[in-house]
Amino acid sequence: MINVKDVERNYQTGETVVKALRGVNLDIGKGEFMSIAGPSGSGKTTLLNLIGCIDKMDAGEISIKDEAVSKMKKKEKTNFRRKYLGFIFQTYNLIPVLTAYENVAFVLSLLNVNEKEIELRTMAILKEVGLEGMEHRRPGKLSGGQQQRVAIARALIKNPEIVLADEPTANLDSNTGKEILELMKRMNKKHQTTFIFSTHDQMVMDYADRLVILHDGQIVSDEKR
Amino acid sequence: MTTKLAKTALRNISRNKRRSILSGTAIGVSAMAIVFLFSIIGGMTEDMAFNLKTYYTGEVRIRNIDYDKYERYNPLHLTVDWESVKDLLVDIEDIDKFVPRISFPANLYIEGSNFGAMGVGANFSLEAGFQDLDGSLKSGRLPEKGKNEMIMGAVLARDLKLNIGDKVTVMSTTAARGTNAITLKIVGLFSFPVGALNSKYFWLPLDRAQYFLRMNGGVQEVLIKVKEGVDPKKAAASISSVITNNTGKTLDIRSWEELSTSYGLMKMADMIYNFIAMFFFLLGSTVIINTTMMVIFERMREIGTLGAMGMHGKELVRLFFFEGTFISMIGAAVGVATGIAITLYVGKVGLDFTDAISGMDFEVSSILYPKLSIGKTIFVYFYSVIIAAGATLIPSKKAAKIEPVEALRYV
Repeated sequence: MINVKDVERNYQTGETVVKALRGVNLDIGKGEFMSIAGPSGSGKTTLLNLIGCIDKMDAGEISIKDEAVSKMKKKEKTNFRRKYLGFIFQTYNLIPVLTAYENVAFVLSLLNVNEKEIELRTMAILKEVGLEGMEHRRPGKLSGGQQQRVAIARALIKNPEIVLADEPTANLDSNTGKEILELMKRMNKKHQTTFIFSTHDQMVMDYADRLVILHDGQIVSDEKR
Repeated sequence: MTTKLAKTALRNISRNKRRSILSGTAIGVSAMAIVFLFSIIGGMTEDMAFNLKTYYTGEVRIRNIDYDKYERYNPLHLTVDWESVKDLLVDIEDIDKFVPRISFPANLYIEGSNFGAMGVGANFSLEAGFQDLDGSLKSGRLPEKGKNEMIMGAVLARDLKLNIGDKVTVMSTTAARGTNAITLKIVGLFSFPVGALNSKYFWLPLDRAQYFLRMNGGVQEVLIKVKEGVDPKKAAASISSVITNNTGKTLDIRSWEELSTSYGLMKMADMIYNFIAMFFFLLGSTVIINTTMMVIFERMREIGTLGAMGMHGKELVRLFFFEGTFISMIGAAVGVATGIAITLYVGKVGLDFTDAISGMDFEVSSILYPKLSIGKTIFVYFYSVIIAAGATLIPSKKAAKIEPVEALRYV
């Protein structure tokens, strides 16, 4: 479903060019629960951002669902993300003035789904992630784990093909992190959604069905379990 | 989607209340100042129109056709035949009231010294219907026809240390270009709203002015008030044709708006103030631009998240635009309400410009009462909201251009 071919990404820092990705090749199938691991600066977030269509590559090609996203214009990429991609961030990135319900429902509003369906789907997903009864709480009134559950619900509400999670457990204690991983695994099995994580958390690596290890912008290991 | 964005924008206002209040206050203060400024101009324009119509030109003024051409020479021989004109004016339906007047420069001879002043010969019985003479009379009584009496501006009397009962010798150039003098007894002191009228003028009976100035029954001008709803300009044209048809003479007959240059300037000032208002609002809007920029930097990660979720630049612009618009709407509403309250209060007590405009020959009253115009006030509200909201588009468009990946990296 996702084909990454000879992808390169360079960053200019002053006069120095940092090669974040050096000719990365990767095929990811539908419904995979996969982790991209590696030390800091290895290029895992860069790879995740490129698959997520929020960054531009310097060379190579990425296609998702047979569409060459690397050749898409800004507007097309935005529409693609809107339809097919969900994001989960390390710091949850919820909108603080909106309630848990509104944060999740907002995604469906972007897709012009009618209010009745929004309500049904939002309530269902919040129940699924274990936030029933907390719909009207704003992020400030939720724990870190609860906020990440809202973020997961937000990523999954539109039934995306792919969910990209950048260090999803980094801000959580190990028990909560485990709960979150189990929740994502459950969602992966139930909805056949492809999950791709970037992480240096061993627990996340252990949960993954496939572990790709990056080092200095290159894949050094690709292990299916 | 628009409703959701508007709802989110409304809630975002409360995220940093102090900053929202600051932005709203900048717009509010501008709106308040402009409402008050327009009210002052409105009051001033209305006041000037009243003074011009009552004391200077009437709504329509009749003069000898050559008078204005030689006005600087005080051409009192260029008269209007009052006796024949008044009979014609009585029958013209558009006319409500009319009065004859003779204005002339004079010297007041007091204890060996001369003091410059302006005399006005008037028919006091007709003037009573034309203006509120009794209300303007501070003390004493009006002069009687055929008697050598005058009423004097209270400020002029004070400056010359004169009082009721004092006699003053008045000297002036006559219609025959000679010099004549008459001694008049002060029988009353008046105070008109216009400062210049009080500090320079004295009024005497028309017949005594005609006799003193050797005007052979003529008058310098006839001031006319037309009936309500009648256009003075059209009335002037019809009066002119009636007089020409009946007397064969052409007179200078014009409406007050054609005659007064200062009123035209006041109207122009009203237009200029629209631009000044725009400048005020743009100035106030800089605060909104500034705070919106700060908000954008503060919410950079949020912008990145929304972008990653698939929100288009246009939708981000709308989100920040709504925020700016709501702040402007609230700020402008509070500002306009405060402006109305201040105007209503000052409209009751008045603004005293006596010292500021003393000595100025300006047809505006010394005490000014701001006049609130509903239309202008509504205009100010929408004007301020449109300019301030429009100004937020500048930083909002900047937010739309930010790449999600850059925004998510922002610390």
